[in-house]
Order: sequence, then C-alpha cells, then structure tokens
Amino acid sequence: MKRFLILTLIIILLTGVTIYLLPYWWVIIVVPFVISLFAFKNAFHAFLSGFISIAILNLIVSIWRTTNVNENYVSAISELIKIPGGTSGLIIVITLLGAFMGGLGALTATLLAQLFDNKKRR
Amino acid sequence: MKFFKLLLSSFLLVGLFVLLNKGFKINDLAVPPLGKILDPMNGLLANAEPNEVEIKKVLKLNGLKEEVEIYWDDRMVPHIFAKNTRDAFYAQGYVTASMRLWQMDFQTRAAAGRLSEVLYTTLGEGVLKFDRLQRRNGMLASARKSAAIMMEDPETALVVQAYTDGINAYIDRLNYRSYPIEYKILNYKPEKWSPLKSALLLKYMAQMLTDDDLDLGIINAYKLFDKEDIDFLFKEFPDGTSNPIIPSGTKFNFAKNTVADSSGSDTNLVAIKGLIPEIENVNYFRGVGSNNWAISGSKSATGKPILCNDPHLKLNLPSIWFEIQIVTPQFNVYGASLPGAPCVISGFNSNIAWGVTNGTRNVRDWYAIEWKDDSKTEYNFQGEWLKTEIEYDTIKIKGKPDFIDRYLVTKMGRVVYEDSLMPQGIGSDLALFWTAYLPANELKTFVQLNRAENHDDYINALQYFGCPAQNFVFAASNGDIAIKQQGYHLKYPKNYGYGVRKDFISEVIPSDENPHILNPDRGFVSSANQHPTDTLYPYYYNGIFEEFRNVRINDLLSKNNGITIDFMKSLQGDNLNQIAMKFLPVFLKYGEQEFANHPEWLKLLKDWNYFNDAEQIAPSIFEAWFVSFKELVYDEWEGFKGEKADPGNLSLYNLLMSRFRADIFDIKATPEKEDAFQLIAMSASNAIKILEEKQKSEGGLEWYKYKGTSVQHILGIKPFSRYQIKIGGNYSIVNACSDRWGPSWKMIVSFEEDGVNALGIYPGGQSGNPGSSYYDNMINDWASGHYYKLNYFKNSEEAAVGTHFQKLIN
Repeated sequence: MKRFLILTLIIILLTGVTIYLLPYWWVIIVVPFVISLFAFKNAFHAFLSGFISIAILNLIVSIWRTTNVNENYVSAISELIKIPGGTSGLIIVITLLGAFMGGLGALTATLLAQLFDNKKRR
Repeated sequence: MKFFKLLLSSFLLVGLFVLLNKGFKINDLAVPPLGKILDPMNGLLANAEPNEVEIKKVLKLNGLKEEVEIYWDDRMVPHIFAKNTRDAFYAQGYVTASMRLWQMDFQTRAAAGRLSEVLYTTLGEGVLKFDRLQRRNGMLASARKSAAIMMEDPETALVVQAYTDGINAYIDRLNYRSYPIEYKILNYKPEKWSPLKSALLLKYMAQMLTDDDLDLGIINAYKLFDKEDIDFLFKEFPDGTSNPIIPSGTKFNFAKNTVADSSGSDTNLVAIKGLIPEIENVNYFRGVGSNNWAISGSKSATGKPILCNDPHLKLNLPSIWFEIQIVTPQFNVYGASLPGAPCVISGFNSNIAWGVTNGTRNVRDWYAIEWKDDSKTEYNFQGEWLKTEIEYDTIKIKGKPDFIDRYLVTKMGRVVYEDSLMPQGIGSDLALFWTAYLPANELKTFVQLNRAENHDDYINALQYFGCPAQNFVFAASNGDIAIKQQGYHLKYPKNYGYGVRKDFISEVIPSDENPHILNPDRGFVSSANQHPTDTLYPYYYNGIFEEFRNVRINDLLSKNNGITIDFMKSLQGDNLNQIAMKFLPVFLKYGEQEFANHPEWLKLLKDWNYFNDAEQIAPSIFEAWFVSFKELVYDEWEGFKGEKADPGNLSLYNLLMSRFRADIFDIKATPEKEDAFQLIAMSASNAIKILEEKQKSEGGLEWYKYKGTSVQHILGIKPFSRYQIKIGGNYSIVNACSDRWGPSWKMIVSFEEDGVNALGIYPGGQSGNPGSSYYDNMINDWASGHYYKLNYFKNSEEAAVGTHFQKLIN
C-alpha cells in the first residue's frame, strides 16, 4: 500500500513537472507508462495508480487554470465542447478523460512488462 | 491470455490516442482533438487570461536596433515609443501579433484561397470551392504583384519588412500552450509571416469593398424583368439624387472627358446566353459603407476643425480594427490599424487627421473571351490573336492530395467563369478586369499619411492609392479641411451602362482629376458612399450609391454652427430613418385597413417620429412591412439561383410614385395583374404575420430585438459571439447598424488650442483571445453610444502615468 501511494505520488509530480516543461498532452500517458513499466507488477494496481494520479493532477491544474480568470471564457468552453454543468462539468470531464488515458498507459505498460517477465521465466 | 490482454489494451491506447490527438468526425460534425484541447495545462484552459493584467516587463527580441518602450493603457491600447522607423513598425508587428495572430493568419489565408490547407477536414468540399474561386478571382496572383511593388520601394520595404520581422519574432516565441485558441480548435500551427501576407490583407479589404459590381446581376435582371423597369431602377442618377460628396454645381478645372462617347450602352455589350450563377461564399451584401466628415473652424465651437469617421463593416470578433499609437522622433500617430498591415489606417497625428469611406464606384468589368479554338491558347484581342497566359497553381488540402488548378489569364483580365466548369452553361468564358489587378502601392499612402503635416502631404500620399477607391477626408490643425476620392477609376465612355463588354478599356483617370475639394465655402466636407459628384463631373461612372445617409449628415452639418464634440457624437449615433419618411406615408394611405386587428401597431406607426431608436416598436413594424413589400416587388427573383442586382431604395420609391402600374409590381404567381398599391396592402398583411411570430419568439417587438444585431466570431463560434445587442440604427441611417454590419470604428478628432482631443470606440476589444476580458469589453459602451477619450501621449513621461510598462530590447 505504501509503495502504491509513493509511486502514485511520483507519477503526479513527474507528470506535472514534465508537462509544464513540455507542452504536449500525451505526457500524461507517457509518464505513467514509463513508471509502470518498471515499477508495477499488478496490472490492476498500475491502472489504478495511473488513473488516480492523473485525476489528481488534472483536477489541481484545472482548478488553478479556472481560478481568478475570465469566467465567461471558461463557461464558453464548456458550451463549445457541449459539456453540461458549466465549469464544474468541464473540470470533471478533463479530470476523467486524463485519468482514463493515464490509467490506460500504465495498464498497457504493465501488461507489456508481464509478457517480458514470462518470457524470461521460460 | 496475457498476450491477448496486452493486445487489447495497446489497441485501445493507440486508437484513443489517435482519435484524441487528431480529432474525428461524427455525422459530418468535426470533433477537435480532445486530448490536446482538454489538457488543462496546455489546452483551451491555458488561454484563459488572469483577471489582473500580466505583462512581461522586459522582452528580449532579436532584430531590434534600439530599445523600444511600450505603454499599455487601461483598454490595452499599446503606445509604442521607438527611436527609429524600423523599430517602430517592428514593434507594431510584434504587439499586433501578440493580440491578434490567428485573425491575421486566417484572413490572409482566406484572401489567398488557402483555407483548404487547414479547414478541409472541418468544412469539407465547400472550402475547396471557395479557395478555387479566390484563386480564379486572382487574389493571390495580384497580392504577389503588390508585395513585389511594396518591396521595390525603399520607403514601404522598410516598413513592411520591419512589421513582418516583428510578427515573426512573436511567432518564434510560441509553443502549443501559447497558441491562440483557434489554432487549437482547428488543430494547425501558425506559419511565418511575410510581406506577401500583408499584401493579401490589403487585397482582402479591396475584395470586401469592391466585389459587388452590378454587371452580371443586371444581365440576369433583364431576363426576368421588364427592360423598361430595369432601366428605370438602375439609372446612374435617380431622380431626387442629392448631396454628392463634391457640392453640386462645383466646376471641375480639367478638360471634358477625352474618351469618345460613341460606344453607346448596347453596341459595346455582349449578349450572354445563360444565366450567371451566384458566386458562393463571397461577401455579397450592401451593409458595407461608411461615414466621414470634417468641419472647418468657422462651424466649430473651438474655431478649429473637427474630423469624424465611422467605417461600417461586418461586426466580427476578433474585431477588424486594432487601436495603436506609434511614436518615433519623426512622427506621432494614433488610430485604428488593420491587424496584418503596418501603419494606422484611420487616425491622426499632431498636425492632421484623416478617415476613409468606400468609394463604391464600379471598378470591375467583365469581358466575354473569344477563343481561337477549344485549346484556349489564343484569344481575340482587338482583332489580333494573342497567346493566353496559362497559370497553374497548387491548392494544398488537409488530409488529401494537392489539387492543381489551371487559370486562364488574358489582357482583359482573368477568366473567373469558365463556361465548361459552370453547372448550367453561360455560353461564354467571362474574364474579370478589376482595378485591384493594376499595379499600386497602397501601403505607401498610409506610410505617408501617418507622418503627413499638411494638405500637400496628404495629396502626395493619396496618389499611390489604387484599390479599393476611398473617400479620404482630411482636417489639419492649421484649419484646412478637404476630401478626395482616390483610387483607380477607368475612363469609361458616356452611357457605358452595365453588362459584359467587348471593347477593352484600361486607361485610368489621372489622380489629379479625381473628385477633390479643399476648404469649401459651406465650411464642411463629408462622404457617406453617395455619388462623388453631380453630372458636371467630366467622366462617366456608375456604381452602388447611398442616397439617404448623406442627406441627413449634410442637413445637420449645414444647419448647425458652433459645433461641439457632443454634437458629433449624436450625429454619428443619429437614427433618423429617411427611407421610412418617404415610404411610410404612402404605405399608410394604401395599407392602413390591414391593421384592423392591431390598432395599437397602426397608432405607433402614425405617431412615430421616424427614429430607429433601440427601444421603439414602430421601426420594427415599418421594417417588416418594407422588407415584405420589396419581396413582393422583386418576386421575380424568387427561387433564382444566380447573381442578383438590388436597385437602390430611392429608385424604388420613384418607381412607386411615378409608375405604380409597372410590370414589376405584378406578382408572377397569380393570374391577376397587381399594381403597387395592392402590393402595399398585401405586404402589410404579410408583415403582420411576421411581427406576430417575432413577438412570440423574441418576447417583444422593440427594434433592437427585432433587428438582432450580433457581433460574431469570424468562424461563427457561438459561445465566442455576442447576440441581441441593444443598439438602434439600420442601413441607410447615419448610425448604420443593421443585424450584422455597423460602425466598426467610431472616431472624433478635434484640433484644439492645447493640442489634439480625440475620442473613439469600436465594437470589440483589443485582444483577439476569447479568454481575455479585453476580447469584447467595448461592445456595451459602443452600443450605448459611449466613447473613450483616446490617450494621445506627447512623450513617454506622459505615457508612463497609469499604464503598464513594457520594454523591448535586443
């Protein structure tokens, strides 16, 4: 459990720093992928860790991005992408979408690692 | 099993990645790349600007010679203080791009016919059609010529190259996070600026302002309407035409037209077999127009001139204008600039002020080309066979192979309509000869106006201006006022008329024979897109001319003395509806009985003071009635899918009063023969139905609700647009605000003892970013007739108070 929490925290921090420096959205897939490749054995744990870490990261970043800014714009975006629920709806979608992709990245990496492990064992 | 799980998970990962990274389509609806735009760090949320303005204090940019100081005022107007001309325009390029980059890029792409490169996957086949037509119209080809001319002249080359470098310095600093939001939604990248793009922007304006010639529409009209009616409706000077720009009776001090008037209208025209289809997607509407005027000291309260300008353009966001002040040791200019072109376009310096309205004389001619054979490699030019210039141009298409198109170019212009390419044949290939193709250096006019000191400088600056011909109004601190219509106009023979031509005409009227007046006795000059002159002007011309706004402006300017800035504000916002003053009494006489069920509406009409104020109901009733009436009069056009010609409303009034039994008033769909008075009654009952519905849908019939003025994002993105703006006015009213068109920049410049006192406003904001509170912050004030005092700083000490300071260094 402790290991899981530490790894999740590492993913949050590493993804946050990387995406701040490299303006590419897929950083939220790559970082959980790379860490899970080496750190997770259990595919479900990996998915959960990727999911939770990106959810937390995106939640924090979207709250930061939508505070003390032009409010009309934020609601205009949710209208544009046809997301119900205004700003909170938008933040939920951003959080879940990122979380799912982060989790999927982590999951795929662990499954890949398992395949190699099996081969080694053979 | 493990392998299968991996396969499934990788498949899902890769598949989702591609969809979220590239975007996709559901039922023809393009979904933007959600992964990118919903990334909270770098996507759309990154464009949300903080409520507190954050400006980088020092910016290091390559290519500056010396330090430049920029002061951003409380409306985010940049005041640039540079030590030399090059740095000044470099800074203009940089700051304009920092506020408006996407708009600049998009408008020049549209002009060039390069939208398919970025929009094909979003908009499909229609956008390729648009691009092809833009190329056939010669927009890109003529911009290339213009750019070359700009770069050959050292004065303009310096300015446009500096401006280009400044824009590119900004583009170089961008990454995905800092891209303007539209790039993210449409999923493409900004590309480098070039002088060609500035030339394209000026062509874009030329197209917007001059592409509605009447020639083809009138050919179609002759096939649908009675010839006598059309001749009556399209007279060059309809009865009652008054108040030309150059006061009636003014003598012109140059020789009578040297062009023989032998080629009467019919002999020079070519009959066209088929109907000419309407050009799709091109601005075809009469909302374009403008007002400008200047009064001399004899009429002003201060004893010095006051100049006003309000160009009426499409009400878009980001706004078409960008306010700026540019100061160098040589000049100090303030005004509205066009993002994408250097200099101020409508503005003032400490010595002079100027403003523009559209000339609206016809500057486009159509020629039917006679080919030697089907290969189209040779054509008949005044009895000789000349070689056709054949151009090939590549249109890049997003997600598809390039499209290579062929263009036929003759001395008589570019073939725009190629018979074999038209869905319904027209019988001939039609080439367009347009003054926008003639070599000119329009930018030089603005470079010189920005630093002009007096009337001579103004006249010198104007001579370079070719297309779109404009009425340049002028006032100087020394007391001079003037107006000149400047641009290329061809020497047409008398009674040149409308239609497709045979005999080629390319000789341009010399600049010093264009209509011009300095310090007229009446103490003011003005223009509102009306006839430039009366019939004493030695050259023939035709076009689409305003017949009402000019009358009201001149009436108020001549009646009043001791004019103040407040008077000018109310004049720019004047809502008197002169169309209604003419038509309504006749309408009421023959249509009153139709209002039996709505006596309250009838009462409103009868008590109406003829002002289209935002909250009045009478203007809505009249407008519904008038539009319904016109629909019945011009019912012949109904269902017609070709280029149309809309006569002016003064001509329609003349027709109604003098020939009410004319064939045009008959409704084709009915067996009886109707006359004008029957149409008045019929249109009243049609209007009542429209009004009843509108009352339900809009919750009231106040004029602003009925009119529904909106300021819309260029891409029509609804959440980034503003609707139902509470403002009065309409077309042909001084406050020319219709549903989608209106005063796009209102400026008042008063020369006073202690310097220039100027006011201005436009319907938008300085920022092009919908995420900024400066995106649309001026709209409400604009609608309520409020103005801002323009901060015309004399020096940087003055500018430093209450502004955000920014320094550009090398």
